[in-house]
Amino acid sequence: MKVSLNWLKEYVDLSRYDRDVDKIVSKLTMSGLEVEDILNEQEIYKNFVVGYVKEKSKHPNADKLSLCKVSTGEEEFQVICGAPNVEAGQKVVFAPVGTVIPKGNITIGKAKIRGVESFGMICSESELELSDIHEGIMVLSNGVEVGMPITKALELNDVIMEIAITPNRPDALSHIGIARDLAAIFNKELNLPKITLDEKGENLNAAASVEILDLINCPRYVAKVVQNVAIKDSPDWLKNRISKIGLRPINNIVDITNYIMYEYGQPLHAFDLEKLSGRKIVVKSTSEEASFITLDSKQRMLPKNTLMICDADKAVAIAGVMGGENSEISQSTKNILIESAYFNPSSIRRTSRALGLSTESSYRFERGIDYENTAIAAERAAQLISEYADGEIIQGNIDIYPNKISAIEVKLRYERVTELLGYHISNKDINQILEKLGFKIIFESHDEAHLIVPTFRPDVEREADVIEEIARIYGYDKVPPVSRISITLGHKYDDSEFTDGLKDAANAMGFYEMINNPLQNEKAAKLIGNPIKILNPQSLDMEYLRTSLIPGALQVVSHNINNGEKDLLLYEIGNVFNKKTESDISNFEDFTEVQKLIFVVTGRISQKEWHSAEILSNFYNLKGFVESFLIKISLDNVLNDSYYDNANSIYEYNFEKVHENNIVGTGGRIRKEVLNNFDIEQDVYCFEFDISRLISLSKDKKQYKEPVKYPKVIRDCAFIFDKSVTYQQVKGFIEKEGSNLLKSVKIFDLFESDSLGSDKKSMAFSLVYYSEDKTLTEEEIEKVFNSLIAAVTNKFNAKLRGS
Amino acid sequence: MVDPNVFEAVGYDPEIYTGYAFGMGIERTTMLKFGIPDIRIFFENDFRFLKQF
Repeated sequence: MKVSLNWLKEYVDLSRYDRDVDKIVSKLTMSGLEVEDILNEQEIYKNFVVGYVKEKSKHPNADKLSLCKVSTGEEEFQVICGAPNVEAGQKVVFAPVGTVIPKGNITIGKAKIRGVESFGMICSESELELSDIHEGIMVLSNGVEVGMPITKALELNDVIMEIAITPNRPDALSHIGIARDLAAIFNKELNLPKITLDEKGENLNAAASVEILDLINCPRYVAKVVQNVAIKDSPDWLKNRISKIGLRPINNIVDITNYIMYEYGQPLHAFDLEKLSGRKIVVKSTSEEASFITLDSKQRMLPKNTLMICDADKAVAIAGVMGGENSEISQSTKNILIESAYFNPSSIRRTSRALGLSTESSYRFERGIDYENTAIAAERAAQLISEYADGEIIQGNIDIYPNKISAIEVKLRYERVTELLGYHISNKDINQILEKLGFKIIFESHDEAHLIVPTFRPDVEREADVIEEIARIYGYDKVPPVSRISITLGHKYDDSEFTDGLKDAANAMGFYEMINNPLQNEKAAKLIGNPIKILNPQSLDMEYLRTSLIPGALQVVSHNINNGEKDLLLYEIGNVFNKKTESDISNFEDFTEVQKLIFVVTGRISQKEWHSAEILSNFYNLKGFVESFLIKISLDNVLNDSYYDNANSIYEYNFEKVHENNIVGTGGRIRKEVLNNFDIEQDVYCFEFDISRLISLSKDKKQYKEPVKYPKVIRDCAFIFDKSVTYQQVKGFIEKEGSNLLKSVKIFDLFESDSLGSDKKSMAFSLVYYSEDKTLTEEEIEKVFNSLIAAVTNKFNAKLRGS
Repeated sequence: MVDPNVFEAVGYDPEIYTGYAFGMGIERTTMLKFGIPDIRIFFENDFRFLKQF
């Protein structure tokens, strides 16, 4: 909300801080009303001066332009002006070269307009952002001195603050509300407007009547009648005040109701009394759906139970939200009924949501206005209307308020203040703060005070809330720091320590961590698996939960390649989600959430050096990184490898890390078709680990194994197989059949050539034999070795090479 | 300071226990320390940013 400092000063004396506006701003922010932006008029208008148009002649090369000589007393400038109303002898607002024009933030420079030079600009009100008037230049009254800065001539010395009002402070949605806080902070008096009414003794009850049928949603309704008004422009001071805080002046009546809303925080509505059938107001809720035209000429569908202001026949306003077209003020309005009411916050909130219509008025009613202030605000409105619209106020208020709302009483224990805050504030200081904030002390002892909470503070209900008020006005900056505190750290209940270790290992290998959103758009999510759809996504970009870390990773690769970074080593740790079946999710059992770690390798693995050419990364680099990673986390010798060709739609060729038939990780080169979705033209290698499996494996406690005392014997053999026989099959068979003296099998050669035959290939294996109990003899080894050769030859129809 | 209603909801007597809670955005604190101007930079995964740290 925009707030004018000059306006605030009417209610609290802050002249002491005229040269120190920053102090006001910082204290206000620290008290909970954050000042987000400051517009200092002295700064904005500092270069503009009062100019005198000495001469005006037609521009030689343009019909609509004038060539003027503008004097600022000390200097004279040649200025081109495009306004139709500029004349010699006028006093104007002159912007010399170098001035920044508020509208559009344009700096005036020396210009040549249609061949004639111009050294500055004569300004309109709209260029100065003082009003909307843009048809002509601003002409000043003759009383101002030529050369005087306009900050002085037009009294442009205000500071407009944009304050973020938190939802719990409806009282701060007005200048008096903010002034009250400032009065408490700076220990000044709050000066409320004095209301003196010049009322006519006519019969109010004959002039108008009010009936509330829905007392739950409208507990109080005050109406005041002003007769014989003249609808015209508001006085300048009023137009200025509301313009500065961002409102457009319309006419005196509307402007006055707006003014009071920003002054007191009470939204008002003015009805043309003659348009109210029966001169009657009936407040009731709709019993069924209805259509209504609001004063912005929009037709709206009102749901059942919408609170409406009606006359004897029809609805004339949506209570607390917006008036109707059928009852609004027009040029010919003579008699006005001012509405000042208290509406139930939840009713207004419900209506506002249902209609998708939020106004400054509904905003305040939703948060809770001051039900005790309705009559005062109506009287203030009446006073201003009689002053500036020539109206005659009919004496008295119609005030329907049958069930008085009782204010809240709170007991405050002074010792509790010290306990909760940790430092001492004297009873005297406490009482002073509370009284300045509007609390009434109805009983006081050394130990406690009984308080009545002000009716404009619906957010204060308990002792703790009162203590908060004391602390924030006293000043959080006054809290004495404690030099020593002792903290007991709770232990981690998750596996973050383990995953931190994974990150350390990845970092150590030169990989960089990336963070991707678990929510993705449809295209990315459906690339792999069966994604879960979100019922209420924030946007189409976040409609599905990811099933894999791969799409996100490829998006990052693509993004970086576009930025010219093609050589990437990246990793991510994150959760992926998969439906267990095709059907929709109805509970937590229907899907899995698994934490994964992905490595991504793409681009060059080494740059061009003086001793070697550049090398592109390949499958073996990925495998090397995976092995290196497992060594770093001490899981290198508990996992087995599996290799697959054409196994799935993601990897062209992938390999897995397996433990006892459980896949711990899988990866390989990403297929071109998948890369095409991301416009990636270089090879990308990925490997995804299931972290929960890594965790369970690392829980196996390491135990010392005595090194084998007896020597190892290595036997090599090579076979010619049919091409269709896989390495897995042979290795698996050898491991099974190879006797328990065979401790490891490793392939060391793979050979294909026409000399073997077009449908044949050769695989050579290195077999390691040893016993934990004794040295094996030649005979023992020969026996099992030959037996194995025979078995392999038989099983795969293979031929032993070199035999 | 933790609202007394919160304590009551979990079975602590607010007359005996008081507490405070605060959060320091990890990204925002990091932004202050290293002069990073926009929080979205952390989630763009631009390698030219990642490799600075």
